[in-house]
Amino acid sequence: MAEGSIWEAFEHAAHYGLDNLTAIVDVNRLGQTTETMLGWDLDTYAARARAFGWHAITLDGHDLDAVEAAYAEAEATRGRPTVLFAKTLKGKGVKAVEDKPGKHGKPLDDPEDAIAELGGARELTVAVRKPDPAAAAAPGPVPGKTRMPTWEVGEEVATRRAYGEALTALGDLRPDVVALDGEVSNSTNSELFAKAHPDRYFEMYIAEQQTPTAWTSPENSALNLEIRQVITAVLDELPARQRAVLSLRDVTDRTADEVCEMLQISAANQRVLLHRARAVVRERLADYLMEEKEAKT
Amino acid sequence: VNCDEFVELVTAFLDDTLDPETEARFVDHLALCDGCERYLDQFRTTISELGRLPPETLSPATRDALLSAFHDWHTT
Repeated sequence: MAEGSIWEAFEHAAHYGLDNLTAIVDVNRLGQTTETMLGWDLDTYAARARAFGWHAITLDGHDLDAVEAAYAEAEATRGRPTVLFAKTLKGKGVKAVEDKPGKHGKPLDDPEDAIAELGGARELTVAVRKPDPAAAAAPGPVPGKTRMPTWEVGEEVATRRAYGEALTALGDLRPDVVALDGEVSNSTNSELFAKAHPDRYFEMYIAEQQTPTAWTSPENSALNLEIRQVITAVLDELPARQRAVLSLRDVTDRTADEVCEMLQISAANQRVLLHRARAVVRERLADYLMEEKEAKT
Repeated sequence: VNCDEFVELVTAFLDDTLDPETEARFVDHLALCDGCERYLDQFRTTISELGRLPPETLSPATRDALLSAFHDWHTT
């Protein structure tokens, strides 16, 4: 919460009335070296969030009933986003590190003791509802709209005018194209897009950190589309047996046992084929994975 | 476990099929080696990226072709 980009995001989410957005702040009070500025002062956090137009709830983050009630309250809130400020103890349940500074990112001295203290090793699988792939698929081009603007050689046109017209034409062609601008749309000519597609134009004002953050939607960013294309190409190049195992295991999410059964191969063989195939895909994606990592940090 | 061995064991590790002793050595190496930690991380990302491919990537025709590739392989 010390980062300025957080507060730009808070302002935007409230400005656009995003009541389907719930933020959770794990207020464990401890930074890497010292206590945070506000520590456990949940009321001050909540007052700030409310001043930014959010519905704010403070709670004990270790009280599951309170967490569930807060989620219900968030879901029922209309017209503005909700934030939960949950007071927690960092490392709760392990006395050697619980609520102690200077433990951030460090291995435990005695991990076995810690596991025992937390109740021993457990197997817990939580089945989550997966998104409907049909709903997530990008819509196709708009029928009848197939032209991008062109200019004659030697014809003079301002770059920004061409940008605005090309962007607007792209918006005509594809219903999944959106445009964002940092309050300069009459300079950049993205106002042409705003006029043609008001529901897909997002004014980010001069929030210059929030603008690039908002456009990197994880599912359909240009980077992700490119990654998909790379993977599809690699899949075609793989030897048939590797491709089969990889597709069944990782694309269609079958278990190792199912794949062995379907393909009549041994577990060891299945694993070798899967491993070879994944290694090839990883190698091909390595450059993108680095990029993504850098973008995250 | 050195880095070369580590790389070969990643899929077995993710499928939870390593014997306890090898798994312990795998995890020990992971704690010491930034490069291998990154490799494992990239492997996980690769798998999740594969999981996000649209299902039509594997059409029934493709699936049949793939299965028959195995069939041929077994009979030859």
